[in-house]
Amino acid sequence: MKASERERSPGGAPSVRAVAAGARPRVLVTAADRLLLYFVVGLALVLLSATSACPAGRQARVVGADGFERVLPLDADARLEVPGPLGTTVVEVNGGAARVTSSPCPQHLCVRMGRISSAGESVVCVPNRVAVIVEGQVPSGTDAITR
Amino acid sequence: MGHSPEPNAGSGDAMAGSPQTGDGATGSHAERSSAPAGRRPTPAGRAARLGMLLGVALALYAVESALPSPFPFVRVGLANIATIVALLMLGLGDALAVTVLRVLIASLVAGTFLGPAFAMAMSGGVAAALTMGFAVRFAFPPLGVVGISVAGAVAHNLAQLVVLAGLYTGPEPALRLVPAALLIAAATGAGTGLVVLFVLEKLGPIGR
Repeated sequence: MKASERERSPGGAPSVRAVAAGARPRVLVTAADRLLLYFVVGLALVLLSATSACPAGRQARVVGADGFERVLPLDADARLEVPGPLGTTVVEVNGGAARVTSSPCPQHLCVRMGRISSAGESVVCVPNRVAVIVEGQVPSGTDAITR
Repeated sequence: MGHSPEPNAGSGDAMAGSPQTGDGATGSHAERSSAPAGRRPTPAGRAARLGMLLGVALALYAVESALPSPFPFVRVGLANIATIVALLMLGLGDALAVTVLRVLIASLVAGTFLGPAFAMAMSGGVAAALTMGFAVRFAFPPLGVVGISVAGAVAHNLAQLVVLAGLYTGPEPALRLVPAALLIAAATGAGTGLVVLFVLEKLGPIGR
């Protein structure tokens, strides 16, 4: 707000805002304010880069019917055919993520789940009894929303 | 800022029994920091201000509850506006009273009294009020209203994370939320601080 406006303001009295800004009434956001703001944002960014949001999984465990079980490291591209009661489900690893690329199941939900790479993520094909689970340092504890 | 005593400056304060003496802006920092003690309103004036601020705080809480938010846990902290104004007008004790009563009443209405949301709101609110109180007392001239507000928002969010860790998740997942809490606090604190500047300007003589 400009000084002229302030002088014309109907209240007229020295505004608390001006007083609150210290002996320099024109300064609304002080240098220290900015410094604090930058510090908080900087600290947040440093912490953010220090702790990656969600730890990437290291391997994908593929579980199928009749005790089928394989572990695929996520850092090596691979293709795995998993036998199941309906046919063969194909699991592929590339670019650090696992996905089901083809499945004999009726709805192909497992294919549509797409790529998974974070620890704890999973893709399950129930009809063909296949599960792909990314293993690694899973974030522990419960997740809750409260209002 | 005018350098002449304002002819109508005292009118709003007449009931509070605190006559204006010239240009308030010429007062020293130290005098202003203890302003609530310096020109303490009468008990009736203080009660009126407390009631008004509590009402405003609750109204802001209601408005905020109705605001759509991309995430349910991200809130603007509008009610903190009333806390800051109370802090600057009346002092830390009354700011705490406004905050605690606001959380109490809001939780009773919303049905979250003594629930986890209540614990988080209360801890955040009290932490913010205390932090801003100390900031006003010891760092107000370098910091402005916006800085005070940011400090309060940071304290609010961090205190909530502490309660979250204690109630639910343990320290590790809560720590991971710290960067987000700080970023959100910087944004919301600066925003509400600017609103407070505007409010104080509009309040004029009533604010003192």
